[in-house]
Amino acid sequence: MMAVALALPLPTMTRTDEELVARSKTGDTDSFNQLVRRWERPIFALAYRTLGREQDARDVTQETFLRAFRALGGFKGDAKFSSWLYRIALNLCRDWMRKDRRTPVVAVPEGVEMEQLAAEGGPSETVEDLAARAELSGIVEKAMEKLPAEQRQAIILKEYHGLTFQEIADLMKCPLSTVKTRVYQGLSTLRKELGDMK
Amino acid sequence: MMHIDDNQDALLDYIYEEGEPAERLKIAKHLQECASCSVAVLELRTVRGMLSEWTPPLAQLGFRMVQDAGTSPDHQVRGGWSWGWAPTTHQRSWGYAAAAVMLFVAGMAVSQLDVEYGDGVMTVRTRSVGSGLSRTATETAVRNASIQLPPSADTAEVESGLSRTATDGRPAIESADVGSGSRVASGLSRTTTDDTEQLLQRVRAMIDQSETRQQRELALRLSQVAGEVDTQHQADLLRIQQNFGQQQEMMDYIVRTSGGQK
Repeated sequence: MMAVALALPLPTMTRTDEELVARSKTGDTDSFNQLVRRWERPIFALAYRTLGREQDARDVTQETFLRAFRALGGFKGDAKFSSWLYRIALNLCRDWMRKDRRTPVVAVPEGVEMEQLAAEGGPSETVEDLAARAELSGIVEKAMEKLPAEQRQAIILKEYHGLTFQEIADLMKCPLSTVKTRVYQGLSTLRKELGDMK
Repeated sequence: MMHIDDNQDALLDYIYEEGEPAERLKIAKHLQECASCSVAVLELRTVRGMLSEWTPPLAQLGFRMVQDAGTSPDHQVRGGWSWGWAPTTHQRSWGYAAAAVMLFVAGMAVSQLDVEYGDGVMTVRTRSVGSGLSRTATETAVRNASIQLPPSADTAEVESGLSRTATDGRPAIESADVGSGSRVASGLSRTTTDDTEQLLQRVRAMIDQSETRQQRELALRLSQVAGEVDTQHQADLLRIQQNFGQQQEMMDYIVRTSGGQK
């Protein structure tokens, strides 16, 4: 009789953030690296849209995870891990702009790579469509640059990261009504700006 | 109802689909009647549509924490841990994964492995091709080897009760109650029946709640769609009227100027 039973754990990709955080706290590097893989692109996108420079966004992303790892022992899990990461990243972006007295820089449309856009676009998109998208992306980026930092951050968190108004209020440490005002004023300004630019 | 373009909170809740569905339904109804609010909503939606076109560059990321020594996050990071860009890690990992899958499939083909998922584990069983044993016998052996149950009489009773319940359903429980005459069995059966009733009531309540919610959401969606169509219609009408007005002014101007020339 030949019978062997092996019990293997299911792939670790399905683990929740909370489980991975708990494992990371015990020194499990692989678990922390899974969290990094899961969240590095959203954090990079947030940093890029806030700062406007790819290299700065990379640096902020790296620093965010480094700080998160250092402070992991103090993370009690009261908020979501992603909210905690967003807060670290936003603080870093703010420090980054203050320290170097930098203002967000806009990558103008000619800086957009067509190959990259082609990879993002659907198979039916023509070159004209891609060019139009690149142009529109540049226009939006320019319009966003003109917003005050608080309005820009509130809109970025709402539009691109799908946070609720309450989550944004918790992140930005301000009342819910303030967040809504910032989003509304930002959208109103964008409406005018984009209307003029089109 | 006041205009929602004077009420930022309501307007944002409607656009971002937050807040109470009933409130959003009210706004949807208001939008069907109010052209200025409809235009405001349409404009903000257009802005949101444009915002979605802003995409960050597809940067090569791939941060990786590398452990140099046995440290934990409580220790200082510097010295014990280091960061590095590893943009090719994912590609290499995919290569390894593909190779592993191919190896696994080839192995399965040779040794006739059975793979089952369940209870949070993946179970892999091997079978010998020429052993002459039936699959059932092998599986029984494996199950006997894998599952460890406490060999108490209580467990056996519970198992037997469970199997009866599973086979015959609720009538079986009632008949067991009558047939045994045992107070304990009767209490157990009554408790089970009560639990079942409570469970059924909870399920019914949940289904009712779900249906109500779905109906409310459906009504809201329908109203939103109707509102959007109406908004678009009104915006088009507004534009047509504006164009018509401009043309009218132009015509008047032409008539005036041509009359003056004469």
